[in-house]
Amino acid sequence: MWVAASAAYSLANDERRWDTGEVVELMRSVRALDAQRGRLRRAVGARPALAGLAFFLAIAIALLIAKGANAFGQTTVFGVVSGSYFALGAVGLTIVYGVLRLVNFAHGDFLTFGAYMAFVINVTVGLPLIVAVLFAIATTGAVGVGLELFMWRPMRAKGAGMLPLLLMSIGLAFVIRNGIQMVAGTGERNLRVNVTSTIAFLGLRIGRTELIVVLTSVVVLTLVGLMLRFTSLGKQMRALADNAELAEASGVDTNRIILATWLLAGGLAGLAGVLYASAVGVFTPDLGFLLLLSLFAAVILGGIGDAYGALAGGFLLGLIQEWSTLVIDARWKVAVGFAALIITLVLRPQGIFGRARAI
Amino acid sequence: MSAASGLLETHDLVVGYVAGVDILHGVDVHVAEGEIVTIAGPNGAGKSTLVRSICGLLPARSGQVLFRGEDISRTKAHAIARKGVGYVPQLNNVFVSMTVEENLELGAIARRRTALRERIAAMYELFPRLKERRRQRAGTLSGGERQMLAMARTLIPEPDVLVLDEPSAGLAPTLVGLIFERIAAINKTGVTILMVEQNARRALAMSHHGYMLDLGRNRFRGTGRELLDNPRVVELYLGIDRRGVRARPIPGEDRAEG
Repeated sequence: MWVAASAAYSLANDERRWDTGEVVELMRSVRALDAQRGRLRRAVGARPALAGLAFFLAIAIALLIAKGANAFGQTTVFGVVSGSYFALGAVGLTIVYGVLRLVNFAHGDFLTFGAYMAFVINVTVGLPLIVAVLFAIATTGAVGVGLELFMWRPMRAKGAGMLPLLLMSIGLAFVIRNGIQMVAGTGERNLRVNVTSTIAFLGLRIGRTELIVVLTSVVVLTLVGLMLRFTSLGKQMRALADNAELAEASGVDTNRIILATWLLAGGLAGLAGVLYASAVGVFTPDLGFLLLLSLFAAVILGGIGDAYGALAGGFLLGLIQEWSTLVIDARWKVAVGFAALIITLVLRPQGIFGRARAI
Repeated sequence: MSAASGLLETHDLVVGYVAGVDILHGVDVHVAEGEIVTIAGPNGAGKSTLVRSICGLLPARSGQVLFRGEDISRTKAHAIARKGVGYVPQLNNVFVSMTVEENLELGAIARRRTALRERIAAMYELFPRLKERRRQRAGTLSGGERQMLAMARTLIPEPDVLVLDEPSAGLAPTLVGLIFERIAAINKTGVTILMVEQNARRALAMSHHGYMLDLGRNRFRGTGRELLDNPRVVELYLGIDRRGVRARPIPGEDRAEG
């Protein structure tokens, strides 16, 4: 493009008379350049995920070469660990948005709720963590369903728009967080997990608990992905997210599917909360609130409303944040994550995997 | 008019969107089993409103919608679909983010015991185009292909009556013929058809009965032939064109009506 611009400039400022042949030749080369640029843009536009992945891999390779295999590998491990709870939280958040067009600001506090529910069973009662995890999933899912029945459904029936619902979700976030603070206090808590023993492989370290967190998250997310793709419930959820009225007219009991959506989103949030609390080791009632923006970033990075996008977005965000510590101080890793989000959105407003909405 | 075997009927149906403003002011429609019935009328007559209300997407303010004699005017849309009323909206009538085959699979939601693979195979026979496109996202289909997919999806659960809102709207003239031909073929297999049509001459010509709706009221009713031969209907609603197309399309009429 610069060549074309400078040619045009010299064309405009040149005292010399140009003969027609030269002008035609110049115009032709400008057009050829434009066409080339168009082809590149189309190639990137047609395969945005692939182009994004290529860019991402290029950065990874550059870091690998510049910082050495060990440092790069270790930050990748950390990135995957935080990615695994980002992804779990983000998938629930994005499914709720996709199905209900509700931006649920209370979703982060669902994570907190899950962590404290696990604390009750694991520490107060003293049962094993696995029981606590199941309890956290069940109770947080139940909270999602209960709120749908007593809050969201009546509001929708009254024809409430997006803004009142959004404000209600912000209010709900405060209610849940302050409720937890009221009952459990604001101090730091820990679950009874082993945060000291680590496993070494290929010269890299990962905490035993962290490894379990990653594996749990990957298994659960795979199951959710398969459920959405292949089961009747998953197809009905996608249909509802695609076109709610058409789904209802086609025989989908939309109210029932919405309940299932809340159960799923709540359950995933509860699990994410426990996994976060286990991996990090300590937590406070601010856990979910502090994570929420990162969850939104993961959701938007992947394309809002797209469950697979949120999954990828969560892991991408985790990796970007941890890799950035190779170059700049770890204190700034959250800011780096959001800078990556902003750059992505400027280039691709619908997110890496999102499609521009048809019609 | 009141044949004993009324499959789908409305009695004095009043419907509206905004409080205090009725769009339909008491509409009576009678569809007998096995018939093709067309509802025609000018833009803004309330044709789409009528079928949306029949299918449960708009609540009736008063009056009744009867399906096999049972009042369904308070029944939810998904329950009506499961009773055997298949509805194909005019616009946004496919799940754009899902593949053609997934769209068809969703059709089975309206009836659990569907021999799904057989029904899908039957639909691919009726609309061979869909088979070629079955792995494609529905959002990439052309307007005609979407209309075919929407009809096929609605037919998967073997509905008793197919309610079509402007099946020919926005389609190329060659496709309009194909769609009407398919509607006739579907009716031959025993599916009752209730359609709203802009392309009134053509639709009435293939219909057992027709209704002319204007400003939310029944204006004329009769067999398709009677309406086409009625000079008042022709003068008021059908124009002078004899080719089966409206002489001059009213601007914006292809779009959804209020």
